[in-house]
Amino acid sequence: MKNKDRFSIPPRYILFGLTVLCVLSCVLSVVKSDYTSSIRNATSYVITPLQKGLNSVAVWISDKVDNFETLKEVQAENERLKIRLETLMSENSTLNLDRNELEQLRMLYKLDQTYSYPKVAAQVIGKDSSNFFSTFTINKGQKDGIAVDMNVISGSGLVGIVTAVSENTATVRSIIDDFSNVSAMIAVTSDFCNVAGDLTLINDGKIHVENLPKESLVGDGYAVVTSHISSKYLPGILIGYTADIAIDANNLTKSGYVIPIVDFENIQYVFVITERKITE
Amino acid sequence: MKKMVVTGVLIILAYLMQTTLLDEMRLASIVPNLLLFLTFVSGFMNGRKTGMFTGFFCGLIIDIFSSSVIGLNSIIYMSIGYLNGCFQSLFFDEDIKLPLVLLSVSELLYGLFTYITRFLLNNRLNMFDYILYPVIPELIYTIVVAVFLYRPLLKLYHWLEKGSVHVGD
Repeated sequence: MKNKDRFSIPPRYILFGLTVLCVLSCVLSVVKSDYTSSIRNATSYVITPLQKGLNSVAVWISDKVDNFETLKEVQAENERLKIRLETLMSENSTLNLDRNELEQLRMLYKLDQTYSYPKVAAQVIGKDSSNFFSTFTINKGQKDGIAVDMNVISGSGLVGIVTAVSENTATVRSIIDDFSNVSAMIAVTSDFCNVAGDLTLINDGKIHVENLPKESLVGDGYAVVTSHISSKYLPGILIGYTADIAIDANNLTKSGYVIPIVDFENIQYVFVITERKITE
Repeated sequence: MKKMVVTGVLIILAYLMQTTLLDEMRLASIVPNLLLFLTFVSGFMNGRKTGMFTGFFCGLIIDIFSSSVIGLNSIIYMSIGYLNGCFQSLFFDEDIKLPLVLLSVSELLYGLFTYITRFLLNNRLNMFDYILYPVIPELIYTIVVAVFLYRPLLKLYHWLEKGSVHVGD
């Protein structure tokens, strides 16, 4: 014990040394793009399997907790859903007719460009550890053909974009993240706009929509989809519906909120679109 | 040596809990910051050096797996571990008020540092909005969790210390 003490370096020098090391590492990860991913690759072999295992435990527990929901609630919901099912079924039959008509018209116009992209299903195995960012980890990586900038969807709505990949995992930044900006448009009026996430709005379940032209006829409840001028997002993916649209103080643009269609609180499975938007 | 291994295991466990299990227990989409709590206890109980290294590895694990810049979290966690280590002489087993105050200050420091490096420098100037959410809720949640975890963690470290004395003898 005594020997150790005699040769030990004062803690403040170690602190200084490690700080310098960290700053260097920060600079390196900004300058060299593959620095972060190579370190992540090397270490993910240990953490990822553990994360997968613990996550399945977590999912199991939350399932059990959900079971405590009172029977009454479930019964009431069942009633509601039954009525809903009836209306949806009748709607569905009319929609089917419409679809047949649409297909025929499309054939006539040779516009067979429906937005069906090749997809890979993935499971969410971990969320960001801090409360500042809305990113999460999925259990598919380079091996499964995932690459940076691929779009991630869930059901029919846009979830986010892949920002980093390692051998077996990938990191996805969701559209509610503070740093997310999606070039979007209003489906009906084709007005371009920008959909931006906001950390301070996360609990309200909405995100910003900005830069709508003042002349736009958009009101509340309009569908917002990814635009075809976006450099990273494939066109025509549903983001959500508008709310509280108002003219900005500059009297040139309109802005408001989008209520995303995806439930980001309980996200478990997502699809990664393995086709990337090719610009230029 | 024993302490080092246990702390290492605790760091990995805390990280995994934070990204998986605790995620299911989010209150107002906030998770308590276990890694910061671990750094704080390690520093406050065992001194500057231990706190510094615990903080460094806590930060590093976050940096590697959920940050785009490796080193930022390491710096702040390491500094928090070191600073709390400076208060080691004030450490008493029975007292829980001072640790909670120190932990709150640590949380605030961490929140401010993250806001300044990641948000302010990206032109997010509405500082008070970010302090109101998520800095303050995270602070409160972490304190609540700390009240329950502080004593068990102290007991664990005491038990380890006793163990190592026997080994040394």
